[in-house]
Amino acid sequence: MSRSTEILVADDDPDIREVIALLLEAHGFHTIGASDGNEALRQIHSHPDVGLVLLDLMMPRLSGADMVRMLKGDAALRRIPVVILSGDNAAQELAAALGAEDCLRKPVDLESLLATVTKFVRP
Amino acid sequence: MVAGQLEDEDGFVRRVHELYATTDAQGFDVLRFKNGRVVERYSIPQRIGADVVGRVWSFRDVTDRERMLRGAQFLADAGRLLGSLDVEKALESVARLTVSYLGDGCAIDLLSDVGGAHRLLAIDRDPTRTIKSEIPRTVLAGRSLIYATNGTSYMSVPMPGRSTLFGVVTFVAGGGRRYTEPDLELAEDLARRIAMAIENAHLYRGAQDALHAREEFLSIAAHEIRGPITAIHLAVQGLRRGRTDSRAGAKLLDIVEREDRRLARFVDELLDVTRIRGGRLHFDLERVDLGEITREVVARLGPEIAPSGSSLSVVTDGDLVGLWDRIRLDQVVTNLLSNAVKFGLGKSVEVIVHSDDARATLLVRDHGIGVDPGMEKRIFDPFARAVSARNYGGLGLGLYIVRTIVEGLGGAVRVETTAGGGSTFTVELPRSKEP
Repeated sequence: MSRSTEILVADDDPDIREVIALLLEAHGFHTIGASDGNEALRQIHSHPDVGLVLLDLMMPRLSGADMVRMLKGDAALRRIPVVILSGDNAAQELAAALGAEDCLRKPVDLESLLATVTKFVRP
Repeated sequence: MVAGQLEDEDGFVRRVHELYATTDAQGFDVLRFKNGRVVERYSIPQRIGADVVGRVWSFRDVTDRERMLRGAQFLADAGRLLGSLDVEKALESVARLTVSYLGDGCAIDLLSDVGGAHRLLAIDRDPTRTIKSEIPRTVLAGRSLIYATNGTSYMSVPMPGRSTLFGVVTFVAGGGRRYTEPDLELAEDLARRIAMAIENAHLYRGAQDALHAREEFLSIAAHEIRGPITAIHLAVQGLRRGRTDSRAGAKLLDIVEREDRRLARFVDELLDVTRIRGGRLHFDLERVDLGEITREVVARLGPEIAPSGSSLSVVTDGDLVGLWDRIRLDQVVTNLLSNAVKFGLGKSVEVIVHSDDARATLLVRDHGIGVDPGMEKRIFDPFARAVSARNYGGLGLGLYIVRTIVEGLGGAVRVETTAGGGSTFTVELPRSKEP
C-alpha cells in the first residue's frame, strides 16, 4: 500500500479524465491528468507523489501500452501500480502481459473504480 | 533410319528383336518421335495353315489424338493449380507446368491502367535467354501471334479481362520446335483461364479488404461509443451517490450533456453515411452566409477547442452569401475545423473565407501532423483514416461526409499536405448550384 495519494488519470478523452477526477476527488483523492503516454511520463517525473496510474490504452503519440512498458522498465518507477482502464476485449490479458497491477473494463462502475483504486492508495 | 528419330531408340530395337525371337507373340507399342509425332505399331504373326511364315507390321499415326489428350490433361492440371486463392503461387506453378508441356519458357506480363506493362513472372529453361517484355502491337489489339526470331519460336497470347485486355502470356520454344495452330489454341485457352484466375483473385482480395475495413470500423465505432458511455455512466453514478459538491455536480451534468451530444453526432454521422450510400442525401437550398456559418461553428466549438491549446483565427472577406443547405454546410465547416484541431498538435489553425462573383472558397489550414504521401486521396473515402485509430479517435467518416456534401452542392474539396507539415483543406462552392 502506497502512502502517497496522488492518482494520475491518463486518458485522451478529456471528459473521461474530468469525470474520474471529479469523482475521485469527491472521495478524498488527489488527481492529476495526462492526455497521452508522453504527458503521463512527464507528470510522473514531476510529481514524485504519484501512487497510482489509471491508464487508457488507446492514446495518441505514446500509447498506454508503450507507456507501461517504459514505466515498468524503469527501476525507479516500476513500483508505481498501474490500473489499465480500457474497453478492449483483451484488456485483461494485455494488462497481465504488460505487468500492470489491475484492469478495469470500460464502461466501468463507480463502485468497482473506487474498490480498485483503494486497493492501491488511501484518500 | 527411323530408329534415329525416336525418343527411345534402344527400346525400339530391343522390342523388334524380342518379337522376331518369338514366333507367335502379338505386339502393340507406342513409338514417340523426337519431333513430337506419335505412332502406334501393331505386330501379328503371319500364318499359312498352322505354320508361322512371317509377321505383319502395321502403323497408325496418332499424333493429333495424343496432342488433344495431353492438351486436355494439361489444361485440367493448370485449372486445378489456378483454383488456388494464392494466385501468385498458382501462376508460377502454371508457368512451370507450361515449360514442361508448351515449350521451354513462359512469361506473364500485366498491363497497367496507366499504360505500359510490368512483368509478373518469367520462367525459362535457358537461363541465358531473356524473354522480351515488349508486347507486339497485334497482341495489344487482342490477337494472338506466332513468330520466330533467331531460330526460336514464340507465341504471344492476350489475356482478356471482363472489359479490357489486362495482360499477355508469352511462350518460347527452342531446340527446333515450331509452334503450330493447335499449340496456339491451347495457349489461348490457358491465357483465358489465367485471366479468370487473376480477376477472381482481385475480386477476392477486394472482398477481403472490404470485410477487413468493416470489421475495423465496427471495432472503432465500439471504442468511440464506449468513451461517451463510460463518461455518462460514471457521471450519473457520481451524481446519484451525492458525494459531490454543487460545483462538481454542475460539472458532471455538463459532461453528461457534452457526451450525450457526442453520441448524437455519431448516430448522425452513421445515418448520413447510410443516406449517402442509399443516394438519399437531400439538400434544402436557401440563401446562406458562409462567413456567418463559419463564425457560428467557431463559437460553438470554442469549448472543445480550448483544451487542445490550438488558437483559431478567422478571416472573412467579401459577399459570402450563396444558395446552399445551411445544416449541411455547417457540417462541412464543423468537420474540417474539428479535424484541424484534432490533428493540429495544439498549433494555430487559420480559417479564411472569401469569394468572387461565381464561387465562395473556404480554406482551413493547420500546422499539425499532416498526411503521408499517397493518402491524400484516400482520406476522403468512407472508413479511411490516414492515422491509426489507436492514436486518433473518430469514425473515419468526417471527410467522406464533407466531400459528399461539397460535391452535392456542385463544389469540390481538395487538400494540400505534407507529413509533419500540416494540412490545408480548400472547399470551393458555386454560389448558385448549376443544374
